Amino acid sequence: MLRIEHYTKRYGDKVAVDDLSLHIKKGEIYGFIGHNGAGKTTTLKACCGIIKPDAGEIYIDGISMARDPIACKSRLAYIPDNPDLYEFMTGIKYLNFIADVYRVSKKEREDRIGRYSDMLGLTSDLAQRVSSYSHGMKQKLAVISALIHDPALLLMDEPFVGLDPAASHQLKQLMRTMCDNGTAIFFSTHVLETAEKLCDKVAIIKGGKLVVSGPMDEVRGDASLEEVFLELEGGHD
Amino acid sequence: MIKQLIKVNLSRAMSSMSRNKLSAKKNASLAGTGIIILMLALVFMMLFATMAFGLSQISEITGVWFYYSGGGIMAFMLMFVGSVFYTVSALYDAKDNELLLSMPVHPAAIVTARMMTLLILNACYGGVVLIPFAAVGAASGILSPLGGVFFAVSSIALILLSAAFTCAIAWIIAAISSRLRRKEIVQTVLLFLFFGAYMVFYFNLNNIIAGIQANAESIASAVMWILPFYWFGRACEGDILSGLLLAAVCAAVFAGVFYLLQRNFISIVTRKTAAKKRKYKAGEMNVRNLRTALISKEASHLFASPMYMFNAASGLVFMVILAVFALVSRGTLESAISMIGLDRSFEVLIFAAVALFLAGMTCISAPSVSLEGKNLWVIKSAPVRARDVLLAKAATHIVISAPPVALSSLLAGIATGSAADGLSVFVLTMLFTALIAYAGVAINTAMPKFDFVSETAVVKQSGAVIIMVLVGMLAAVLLSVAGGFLAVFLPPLAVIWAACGVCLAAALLVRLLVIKVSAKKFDALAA
Repeated sequence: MLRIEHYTKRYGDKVAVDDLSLHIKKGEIYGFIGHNGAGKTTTLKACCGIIKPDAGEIYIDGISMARDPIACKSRLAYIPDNPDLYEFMTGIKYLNFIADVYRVSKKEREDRIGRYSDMLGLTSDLAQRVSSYSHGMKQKLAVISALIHDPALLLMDEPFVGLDPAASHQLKQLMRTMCDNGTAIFFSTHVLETAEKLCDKVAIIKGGKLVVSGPMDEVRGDASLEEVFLELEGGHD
Repeated sequence: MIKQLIKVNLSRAMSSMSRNKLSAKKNASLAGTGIIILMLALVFMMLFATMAFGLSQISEITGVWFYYSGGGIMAFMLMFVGSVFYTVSALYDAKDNELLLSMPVHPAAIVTARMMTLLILNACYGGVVLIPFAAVGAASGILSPLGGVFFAVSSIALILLSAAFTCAIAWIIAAISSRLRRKEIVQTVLLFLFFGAYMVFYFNLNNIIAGIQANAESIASAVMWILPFYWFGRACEGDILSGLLLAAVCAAVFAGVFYLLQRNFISIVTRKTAAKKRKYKAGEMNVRNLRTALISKEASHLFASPMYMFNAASGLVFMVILAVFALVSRGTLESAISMIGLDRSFEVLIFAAVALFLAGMTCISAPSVSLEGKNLWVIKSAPVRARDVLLAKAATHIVISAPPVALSSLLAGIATGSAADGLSVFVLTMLFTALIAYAGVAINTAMPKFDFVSETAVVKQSGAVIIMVLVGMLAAVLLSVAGGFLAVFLPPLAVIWAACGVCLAAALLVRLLVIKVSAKKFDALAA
C-alpha cells in the first residue's frame, strides 16, 4: 500500500531523513517511533505529498507520489500532530469542505459524519466555529475529516495527543476495524504501550536513519518495546 | 525582557513585509517595500499639506493656535482610525498572548512591548498629518524655531493620548465582540463607519474650511473646550503652561490606561466568549464540486475577518458609494465636463477611470496564499491541483467584486442615460478586476508569508499586498491616461472597448503565468 524507497530529506546541511525504506501493506497497522526530531513528521509529510523528497520515491498503491500526486492523495488521509484547521469555519462546514474535496457522496458523508462524530463525542459542537474548539476537539475533528472519505491509507502523526480516554479508546478500536477491512495505517507515537498493543509492525528511527523495523513480536523479542527503544536510543540524550 | 519583546513585535511587523526569512533577497525586498510605503506616505502628506494651507489662511481670524489644533485633531483621528483594529487584533487577540503569559514574563512587559509597537504605528500615522502642518506652518511664518520645539514635544504628547484612547476603545470593541456570535460583522461595520466618517471629513474639507471661515470665532470658541487640542494649539504657539498641561494630562492618561491594562491583562486576554452555543441539527448536506468548494472556503475566510474585508475590499464599497454620489450629483458632473470643453459622452470615461482605480485598490487575492498560514497542510495533503487552488483564489476575488461592480456600472449607466455606457464600464472593470485577481495570486505565491501571529499583519503590511495595491492603482492610472489620449481620436465607447481588449489579453497572460509558473511555486511550498 505504502512503499517508501530510499527516502532522503535535507534541510540545509542537516539530513532530516537518510535513505529510509519501508513497506506498509494493506490491513497493517504500522507504528513509527523515534526521539524528538528523529524524522518521523518529515517522513509522514513526504508520504502525503506535503514535502518533496530530495532523493528516493514514495508509492501509494503502486502509484508514484512524484508522478501522480493527485491519484496518491485521493487514496490517503493525513492527521498532523498539531491540527491547525480552518478556524473561520464551523466544524460541520469543515467536514463538508473536506468531503467536497474528496468527492464524497451526500449519503456517505451524512452517514460517516453522523457515525464518527457520535463515536468521538463531537456532534453537539459541530455547529461551533473551529476557533472555539479546544485542542482535543480539533484533534477529533481532524480524525473525522480523515475518515470521511474512507481512505485506503491513513497517515497519523501522534493521533492520541489531546484526545480524552474515551475518544482515544474509540480511535484505537476504529483503527483495528479499518485495518481488518483492508486499510493500511502508518502512525507515529510516543506512547509505546499503545504502539505495542495496537501495531502489527513497528519501525524505529534515530537521527533520520531507520534502526530497526519489522513485526512487533520480532522487534521487541522477550523485552518490552520501551526497553528495546531505550536500548536503541542509547546515548541520544 | 522588554527589549526582546519589542524586538519580536517589530521584527514580526518588518518580516511581514519581506519575502522570506531564509531568502538572500530579504533586505532588498524589505527596502523595496519600505520605499513603496514611503511613497504612499508622501502622497498623503501632500494632501494634508493642502489642508494645512487652507487652515493657515484663517489663522489671522482664529488665532494661530487654531491652525495647530486643527492639525492635532486630524492627526488624532487618523491615528485612531488607522490603529484601533490593529490594536484589537495585535494587543487583545494576539495568538502569542497566552504563550507569553505562561512564561516568566510580567504582563507589564508584554503590554509595554505591544504599546511601543502601537506608539510607533501612531507616530507614523500622526507624522503623515503633523509633518505637513509643521512644514506649512514654517513656510507661512507661523511656526518659529521655539514653536517648532514645542510642536515636536506636544506631538509626542498627542501620540501618547491617541495610543491611550485607541487602547481604551479597542478594549471595548474586543469585549463587545467577544460576546457576539458574528463579531466579524460588527467589527467590519465599525471599521467601515470609522473610515467612512474620516473620508467624508476629508472630501468635504473645503466646505468645512469655508464653514469655519464663515464662523471662525464661534468654532474656535467651541474647540477651546476640547482642552487637549486647545492646549496642543497653544503649546505650538509657544505657551509653556499649555505645553505643560498637555504633557501632564497626556502622560497621566497614558499612564492610567497602561496601569489598568497591565493589571488586568491576564483577564482581558483570557476572556472566554459568552456567545450562545449554536445547536447542531443533523440535516441534509449540500454537495459541491471542487471549484465551488474552494471558492466558498476562500469567501468564508474573507467574510470571517473584518481586517481582511476592510483592507482588501474597501475599494468595492467606495465604488458603490461614488456611483450613488455621481448619480445624485450628475448635474454637477455634466457642468464640470462641459466647462473643460468636452462632450457629455466623456462622462463614461470618467466613470470608467474611477472604477478602474478603485478596482486596482481591491486586493482580495493578494494576501490569500499567505493567509493559508498554518492551515497549508490541509490543501497540500488533499487531492487538489495547485492550479485549482490558485485559480479558486483569483475566482473568489472576481466573484466578490462582481455585484458591487455591476451595481456601480448600472448607476453609471443611469447617470449617463446610456445602457451601453453602463455595460461597457461593467465589462472593462470586470476584466481589469480579473487581471488584478490573477496578478495578486501570482505575486503572493512568489512572496508568501506563513509565519504570522495575526492575520492583520498579512492583510495590512505584507509585501505582496502593498505591491499589488500600488501596481493595481498604477495600472489603472496608466490605462486611464492612455484612454484619455485615445479619446482625442476615437469615440469614448470605442476607447473603453479598446481598453477591454488590453485588459482581456493581460488577464489571460497573467492567468497562464499562474497556471504554469505560480502553480509550480505553490507545489514547492512546504507546509
